Amino acid sequence: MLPLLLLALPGAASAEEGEEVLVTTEAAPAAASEVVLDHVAVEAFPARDADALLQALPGLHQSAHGGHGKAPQYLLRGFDAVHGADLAVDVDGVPLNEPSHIHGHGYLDVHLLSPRLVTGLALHPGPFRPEQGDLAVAGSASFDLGLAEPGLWVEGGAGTDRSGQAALSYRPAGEGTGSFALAELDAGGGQGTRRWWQQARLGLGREGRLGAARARAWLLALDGRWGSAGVVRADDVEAGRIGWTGAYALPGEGASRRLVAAASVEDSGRRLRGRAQAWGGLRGFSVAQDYTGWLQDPTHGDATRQAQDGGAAGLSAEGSWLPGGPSLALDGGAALRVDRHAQVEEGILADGSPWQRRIDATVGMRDLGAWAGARWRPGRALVLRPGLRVASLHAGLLRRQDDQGQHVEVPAWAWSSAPVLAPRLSLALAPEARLSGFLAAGRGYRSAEARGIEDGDRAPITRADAAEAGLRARPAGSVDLRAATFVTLVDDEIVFDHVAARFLSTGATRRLGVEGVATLRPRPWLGVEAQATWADGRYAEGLLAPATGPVPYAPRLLCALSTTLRELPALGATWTGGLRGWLLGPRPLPGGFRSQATGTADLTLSARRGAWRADLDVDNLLGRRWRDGEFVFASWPDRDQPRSELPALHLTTGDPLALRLSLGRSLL
Amino acid sequence: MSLLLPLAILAACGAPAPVLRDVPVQGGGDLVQGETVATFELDGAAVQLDLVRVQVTDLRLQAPPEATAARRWTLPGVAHAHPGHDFTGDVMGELLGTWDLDLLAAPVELGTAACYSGDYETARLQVGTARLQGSLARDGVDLPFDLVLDLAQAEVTGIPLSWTLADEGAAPTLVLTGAPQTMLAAAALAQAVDTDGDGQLTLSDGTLANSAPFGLLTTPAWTVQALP
Repeated sequence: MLPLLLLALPGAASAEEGEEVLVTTEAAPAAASEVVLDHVAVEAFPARDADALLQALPGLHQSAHGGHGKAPQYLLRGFDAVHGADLAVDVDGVPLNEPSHIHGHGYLDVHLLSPRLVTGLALHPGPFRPEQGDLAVAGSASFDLGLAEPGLWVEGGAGTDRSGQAALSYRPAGEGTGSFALAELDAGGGQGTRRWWQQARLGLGREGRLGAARARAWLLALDGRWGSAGVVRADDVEAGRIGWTGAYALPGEGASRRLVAAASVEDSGRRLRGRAQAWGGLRGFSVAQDYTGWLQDPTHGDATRQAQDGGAAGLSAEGSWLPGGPSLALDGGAALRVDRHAQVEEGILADGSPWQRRIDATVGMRDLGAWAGARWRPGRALVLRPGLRVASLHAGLLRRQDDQGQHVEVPAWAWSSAPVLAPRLSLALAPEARLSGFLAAGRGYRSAEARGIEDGDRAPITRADAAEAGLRARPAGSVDLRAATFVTLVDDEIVFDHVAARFLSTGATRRLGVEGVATLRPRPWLGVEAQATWADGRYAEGLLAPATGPVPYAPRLLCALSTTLRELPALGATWTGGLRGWLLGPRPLPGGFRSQATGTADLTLSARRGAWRADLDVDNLLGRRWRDGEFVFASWPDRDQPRSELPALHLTTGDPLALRLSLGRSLL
Repeated sequence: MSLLLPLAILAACGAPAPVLRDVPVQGGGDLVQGETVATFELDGAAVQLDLVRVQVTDLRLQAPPEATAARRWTLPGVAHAHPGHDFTGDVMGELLGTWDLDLLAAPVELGTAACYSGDYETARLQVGTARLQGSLARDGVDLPFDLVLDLAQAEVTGIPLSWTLADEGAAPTLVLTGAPQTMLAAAALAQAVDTDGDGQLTLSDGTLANSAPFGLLTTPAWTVQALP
């Protein structure tokens, strides 16, 4: 269907031709801490995958504890968003999070999206915009999809991490970035045990005109597999029983297949702009993992395999209207999303063969939301953005196996639902002046995980009320300073207990934090940025209520220092690149334990000369042994050791120093 | 980045993390006024113990069970779908090994337990083989007994332990004791009948095959105390 649609679009000139862009939602930030990256900034950010680009948002860090191919763990502003439960991300308006995913609610896997197809990125901390929907609790992000490189492009490369990659892309001359074709292979053995990966990606896009409207269709596909070293006990590493990049002889691998296609129509006039989009996707996922060895089941081992297959689809429409001039814009939109996935979880033996089925079910999710907002400029120095989002969230479960593991003869759907009302408001004072002030407040929400619901119950929704106050200062043309303080009150941290397959109400939490960003651009091609975010997440019943304990795994301090080159002409070539060092401060771990501070630096650099381009990417430039993740729990991975039930520190060790070099050439 | 390091160190300043400490552990018989009790009255019968040996394995010391899920969530757990995000246990101290305890002797050194500082409320252990030998004087008749059991590492849970281990300072000694009197009372030895008429009570007599294991596994028969 989609290829036909792609072909049916008339070959169009550049999308920008003749546009009368009325008002865009990005025209003025809703909060001081919002970040928008253009294509060059994306290219200058050291990122092996598209998901790493999200770290351009101050206060956002990710841990790749599951290997190169699985969604990372996201940490943002005092939230441990696990695999995406509190961070909503879309590409060209199509949501990438997967609610009720077998491996974690809101599973956010961006591997589908090649960094080559990212032409921009908008990062929005907090739930301050009415268009932000489910899972936008700590923040959200939107990828712009397109291919910046015109013509026929071929590229290949290799790396010291035993990797190789090849890409072939095409963008018709004279057409916009939305018309593209991309095929990409990326594979590597990695450094250390069970760190291999294989990914094949395909991207097709076409934009053009349908009458007066601008139409767009695209398709992204991924077939990925990976090995996962899993976690290693710190005491085993210290005793030399396992190497820094080693892994236990336990199952650890995964596979991810995904296809997403979308078609949209957008029309823009002097006073009215509208956009409608339909999208659909197919999904296959499986992961085999064992974090505890033989602790729970000394006979079979604790390894599990999780798998899901299904699909999702959605419709959305949004529009803006200027009723009486540029001082007031009214925005609104509605979106429907449906998901349906068959899910299986089973205990597996060390050789991967299943021995016990624990979950056998189909989950269904429906999310119907609508929002309205306004951007009102009553005076030159004030912009108000009130908004309201309403949503009806439905979660369904079809069990083919009951709690005791017995086959259900006549499975029947159980459905739960809940309404959500989420007001949003932001205020900008003198947004164009040298010193601007921003206030923002809003409610974010997280839907319930379908596997925990009971028929007819109200689905337990997590609600988060957030506020941010910030300043932006431009004391000189080359200096940009931003500072913000923020608070988020979560009414009840509802956690899905995967062992008991039920919800745990863990209590209300409070996050308080501050953030500062200083950017210096002494030359148009040179940028230096320092940023620091400190957040304190604790269990507390309110803003002023006494705290009872820290939220485990939540980040507290994240600092980054980066230098970027933007299209610097030198030595007969044009240079673009970035060097980014980061430091994640100690985090509270369960039971009063604490992680160590960790950090390293990464580099990306590209040189373009004529039809040629060379790219160099360096992971872990400092060559440090850095701790990607730290966890505290009991495990027994080595049966030659005594079976201890004491909580122990476990590590996922970060990638060693690796260099990847690629060479590309334009052929047309 | 060096300028950022002090900030990171500052961020680390908070409540101290639990400290893993060495705690000596002794195990043996229950002492009354400094001596173990080998002769006692049991439901109208006089009991004389000659031998009580119980093989125990892996003493585990547990933090208080938490009343609210909020606190529960903050305790270390066993990873399942995601490292460390599921809770299934609260063992914060343990001494691994197997010991043949003589419950008619004063406690002897078993080893050094690894314990995190903090509050403790219960302990648990596993019981393997056991032998209780002695005689029962009932209605003027002496009846020897010889109970030989293999409990196959059955677990005794919920042994009371009211103890707080400080981060530093002299560590107390934990003393594990078993009380044969309580075991035999729970085993209803005083009411046992020599059903096979061989002049001796064994597991084949009456309900001892069921009640004797119960006696050894009953929680009140075991205590763990912290002695300064």
